[in-house]
Amino acid sequence: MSTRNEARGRQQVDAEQLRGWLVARAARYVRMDAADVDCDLALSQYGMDSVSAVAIAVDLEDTFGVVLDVDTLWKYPTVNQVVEMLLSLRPGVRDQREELR
Amino acid sequence: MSEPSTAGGVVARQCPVDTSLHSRLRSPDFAANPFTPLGELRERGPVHRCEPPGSSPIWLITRYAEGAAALLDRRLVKDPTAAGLPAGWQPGEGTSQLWSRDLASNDPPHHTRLRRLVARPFTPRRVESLRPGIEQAARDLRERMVKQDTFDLITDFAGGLTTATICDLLGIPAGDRELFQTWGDRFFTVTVPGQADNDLFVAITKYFARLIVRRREEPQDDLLSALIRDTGEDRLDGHELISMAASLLITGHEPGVRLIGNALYLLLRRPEQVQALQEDPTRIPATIREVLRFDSPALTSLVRFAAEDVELGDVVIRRGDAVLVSLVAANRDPARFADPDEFRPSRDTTGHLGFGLGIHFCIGAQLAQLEAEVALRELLPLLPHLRLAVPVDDLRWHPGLQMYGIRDLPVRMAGAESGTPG
Repeated sequence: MSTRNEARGRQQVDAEQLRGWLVARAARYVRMDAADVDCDLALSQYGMDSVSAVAIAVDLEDTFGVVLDVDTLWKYPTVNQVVEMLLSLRPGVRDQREELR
Repeated sequence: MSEPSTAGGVVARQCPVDTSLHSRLRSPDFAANPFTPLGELRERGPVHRCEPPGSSPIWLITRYAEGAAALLDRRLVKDPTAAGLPAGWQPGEGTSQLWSRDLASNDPPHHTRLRRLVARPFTPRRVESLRPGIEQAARDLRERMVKQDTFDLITDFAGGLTTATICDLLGIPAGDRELFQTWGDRFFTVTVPGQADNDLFVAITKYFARLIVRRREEPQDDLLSALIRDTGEDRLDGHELISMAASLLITGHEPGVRLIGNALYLLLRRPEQVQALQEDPTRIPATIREVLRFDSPALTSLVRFAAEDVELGDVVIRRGDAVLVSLVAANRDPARFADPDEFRPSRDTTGHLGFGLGIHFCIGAQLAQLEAEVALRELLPLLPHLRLAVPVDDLRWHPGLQMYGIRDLPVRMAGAESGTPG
């Protein structure tokens, strides 16, 4: 029981970090303030174009050692959807959280 | 060399022509000498119908007049859906949308806008500004190459020179250049539907997305940054930027290599031409134009589709049928060029179709000629001393219907050990 709680706790922290990283990266590409990014809104609504969308997928690959389709941000258009997908995709993601900082 | 395209549908649709011709077009003999079979077809008629199994008819045009007319005919379109066809084969894994906004896959009015936006920064002056860099690259490559006993004029020289040029144009960091050489070669080797190298499309897409993002943040003095720049007017969107960068890279590399390779192989066998060029290097540009007519790297045009019924030559091409112009056959049409099978740099080559014709005329024509010119200038003093390092029959030729050209050209210095001169 306690183990599961602990695991869930870690997972939450990881999700937070992932989310923060994604928001910062997305904000940089669309040139807006990270504080203004709503994680449940499609990033395209902030003017993110295909170049930035593919670039984020590549950045994620490099940072987390995963392989993603170029249309990842089309399939998972919001920050929260990408975070959820990444966490489900690869438990090992949390082991690389150091790279988030 | 004509009509850069990244649209895989084009590649996939370049099917063999008819059952009897099928095996000939696939054979190594055809790759080494497409002129004889295409010349026979040209004698028989201007337009040839072929019915590849499981595909709608393809018309192959082998005479100059009909070929030029087809290239200029606005009813023959690049977008298959405009001809009532399905969108056709496209690279998968999400790249298809990202690769469909290049110049060669689009018709007016989209094409008109795209061409204007690319041509605006891709000026003659920008091309000419690349000359010192191309010259430097040519010197470096030659010096490195001649340190070896035998070397390959294509892989050791033409490939590196073309890669350096297109990377300079686009602003691709020097460290990434070997990657690009490989990509260009692999792309043009894909000739069969279903064999498309999807990983290649994905890798190129990812590469350019990241480079474009970097150039947005820190623009440089290169074409990519110029294409990105917001001038306050119309500009390329994200899909279009990726399409353009990828198509300029790919079509800027491989056909350029083949042009230089074909020119060098021609000259190796014509010492008198080499001597004439040494005596008067101002003849080099005319010589390159004659190579483009005589040994055009673009074997056929990219495919077009009839958007309506079109009368051409003695046939009616039905809506939805595919049309290919054999640029090689048209350039050797005796009705257009006297003694077409003679390589004659002094001739008037005006109207050759090596770069295509009309709205899809190769946008890199000036650049291709510049790099070929620099290549010849650099190697001219060397050419009289070079001999083939392998028997002629061992030379390899580019497969498929899209490109004509020698793939490798191993040579050694005359007087060096081993074998008989080629």
